[in-house]
Amino acid sequence: MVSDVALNAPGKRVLLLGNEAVARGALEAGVGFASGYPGTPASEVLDTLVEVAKEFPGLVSQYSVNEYVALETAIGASWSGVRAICAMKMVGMNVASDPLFTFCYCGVGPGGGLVIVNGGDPSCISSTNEQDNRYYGLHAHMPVVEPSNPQECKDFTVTSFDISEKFDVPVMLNLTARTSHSLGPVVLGELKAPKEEGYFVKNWGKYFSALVIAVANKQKLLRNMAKLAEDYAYKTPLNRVLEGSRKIGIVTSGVSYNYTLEALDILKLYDVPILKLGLVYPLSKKLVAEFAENLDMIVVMEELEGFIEDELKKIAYDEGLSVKIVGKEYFSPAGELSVDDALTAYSKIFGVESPINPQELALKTFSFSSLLIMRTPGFCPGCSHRATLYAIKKAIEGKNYDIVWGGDIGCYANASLPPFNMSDFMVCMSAGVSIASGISFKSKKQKVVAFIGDSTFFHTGMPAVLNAVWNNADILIVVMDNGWTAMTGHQPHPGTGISAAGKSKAVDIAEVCRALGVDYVRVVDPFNLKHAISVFDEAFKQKGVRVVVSRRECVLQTMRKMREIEAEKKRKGIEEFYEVAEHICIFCEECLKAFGCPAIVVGEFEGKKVSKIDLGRCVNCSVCKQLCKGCAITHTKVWKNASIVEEAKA
Amino acid sequence: MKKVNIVIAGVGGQGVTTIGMLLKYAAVKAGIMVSGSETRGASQREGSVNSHVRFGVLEPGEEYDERRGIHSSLVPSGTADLLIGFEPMETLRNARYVSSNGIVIMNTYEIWPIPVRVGEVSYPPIEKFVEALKAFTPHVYTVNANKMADERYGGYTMAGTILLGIAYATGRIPLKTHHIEETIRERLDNPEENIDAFRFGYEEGKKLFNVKV
Repeated sequence: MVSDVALNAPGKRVLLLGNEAVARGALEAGVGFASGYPGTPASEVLDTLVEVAKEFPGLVSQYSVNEYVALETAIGASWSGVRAICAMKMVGMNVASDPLFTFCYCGVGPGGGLVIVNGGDPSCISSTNEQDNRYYGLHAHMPVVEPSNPQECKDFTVTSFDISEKFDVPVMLNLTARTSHSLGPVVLGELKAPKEEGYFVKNWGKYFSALVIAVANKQKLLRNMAKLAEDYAYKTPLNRVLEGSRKIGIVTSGVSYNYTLEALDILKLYDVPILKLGLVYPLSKKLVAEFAENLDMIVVMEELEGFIEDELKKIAYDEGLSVKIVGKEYFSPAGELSVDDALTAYSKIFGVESPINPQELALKTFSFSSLLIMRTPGFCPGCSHRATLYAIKKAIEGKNYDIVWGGDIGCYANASLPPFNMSDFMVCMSAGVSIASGISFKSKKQKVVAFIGDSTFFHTGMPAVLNAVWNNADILIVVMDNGWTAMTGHQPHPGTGISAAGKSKAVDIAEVCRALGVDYVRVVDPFNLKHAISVFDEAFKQKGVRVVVSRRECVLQTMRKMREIEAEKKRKGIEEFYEVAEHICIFCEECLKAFGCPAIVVGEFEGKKVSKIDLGRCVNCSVCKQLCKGCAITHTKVWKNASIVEEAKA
Repeated sequence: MKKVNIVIAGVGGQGVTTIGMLLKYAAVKAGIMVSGSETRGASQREGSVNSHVRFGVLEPGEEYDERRGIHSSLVPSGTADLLIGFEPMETLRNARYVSSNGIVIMNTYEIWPIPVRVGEVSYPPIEKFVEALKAFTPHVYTVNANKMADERYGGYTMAGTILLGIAYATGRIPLKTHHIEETIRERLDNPEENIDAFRFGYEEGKKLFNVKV
């Protein structure tokens, strides 16, 4: 089945995720180059373009090792006159910000519009902070476009390319997790063939940004942005006004627009004037002044910071508007907003009683909160990270080490949760290694451990390891190598031997560490528990920078590959499983509490508690059998189909 | 426009997202308006997940009016016509979405959070959840779809589709069975078994809700 994203069927209505719709928009804009680093909530933009690349000759889609490399590569494509898209999550924008600012001065190549997709994450559903990247627009002088639903995700992407080329500046398409992961109908437009080949036309004065040239480029950029704000921002259909007769109007954008309309429908308020912004930066003074003309008050509903509110207030001051502007008095800058927030605010502002009382409902849930035990995510059954952490725990058992655990970004961030509690901090990609190094320079009595994943290692980990070696840090770096950028959906990285385009050279992390100057490098398989424990024991006793690469493929990927093998086994009537010999189990709870595998549960045998393996969840990783103190866990393989047994014997 | 709101709640790995997506794709097949969103990132990792499904059905002769349409991808609190809980604790965690006339279908198969598994606290009895849910709506039904799936299919994988069938029997899902079955055929692994599970669930649901067909 052809992915709906790639369908050549203009006018057809399909269901797309916001991120997929952005990818579709890029295809309709004739995008020729796509890059990025996976990060929730933006991952599916590039994933989709990678998936459909084979159907679009001329489209080059690449996973990059990090966001600044991704943006720089995309700039190269743009300057070769090819439309390019670059996707990242909001914290990735910090990594990309170095080339970003100068790039805005230089602008894009002729016919090489560039759209940067930014995935924001109000409520930190899978992030370490909530930063509002619309301020990058303000700071770098870059237009910011914000869609509300999948249809707009597609349409606005196409428009963003046009803006980029028309005003010679990259455009940021700002999404939030809720836009990225909303599913909705999209009416497809025409696909446009990507430019197969580009050509870099030399233009020293434009692309060599330094000294007076840089200043001249900045002046050009400011002129372009002013033109955009005056004329384009006034006329563009990205911004829309819904007429109304009330004296209080609403200005909103993105998902907040959806919540606004939904809440006003519940409150039966159909006469409120609304200015719905699609181009949230820069704003047209004329548009704002016209909207505000007969209004006493404007309520701004937006997620996170009061970005639009501040911009409106500037315009109101400059234009001498007498309208009162409110926003953050009603909508918190922390966390994701909802229809409930809109209902609460609008019922108060417009003096209309809401038929639903969100606070009361929340309170009602709260009154039963003792029944609601917090459900923290953990490692999957058969996850190699659990075995690695367990091996480390066993290696230090009884040694009274005072240890600082450095956490990092990836599945292994779950190490911070019970039963392991093995991450004392987590800041950003690869900061685990650098912060741990810093601690080791100053805290001599403590042993310092830093966890880092394989993809994070390639992202920004290498310079961090190099710096640790160079300055003679005293840390144990554990590379949790599960072979994939697993947390965001198993994208490849330089260690996988795969790129977005197919087979490629596999780079070995252990070898890279040796090349970076690490003398002590060991590789262990965490599923060989005894060996792993002995290596960690040794590594803890050494000094200087030590690296242990704990390598075992992500179980979700292994299971996918095993699916066919399992089906074949099923056909042959072969059953293989681990179980607890209940009469032997002494219920020491090692497998249950210390290892914490979700496939192990509490059972009962002859009136006593025993451990029990949930065969529906167990993936036969064998680690529980290795760690069982009473040797009660057994491995069973049965051939149910007698004829196969005969066949095998023959 | 008649808005139909459905919330599906459960634990990562149970198929909450899959069933939510299935309903949304089926709505496109049926030609009705649809919107929705789901928790991503905790899938298969033991976290709480939910899926919001919203349908917009135009009344005969009604023209689409933007200000009365479906916009939010999230269900507003207190407006869900149907809350399908794949796990008891997660059902209650999402209780505030259900309307005072909504129907709750709660699967009684427990998945213990880590603090329960390590023995810090104990998992409350199911009756407590039912009692708490009844503060939101009188229409609370419990089933053990995992047990049904295990007995009929020798495993838990069909539990989600059985629950969908049971939920369908409430009559609150504005889709025809063929829309759902065609979508299962197109989008799920093991379609025949899933369709069988859906039909089985539907029959069980009819018994449960005492619907005469």
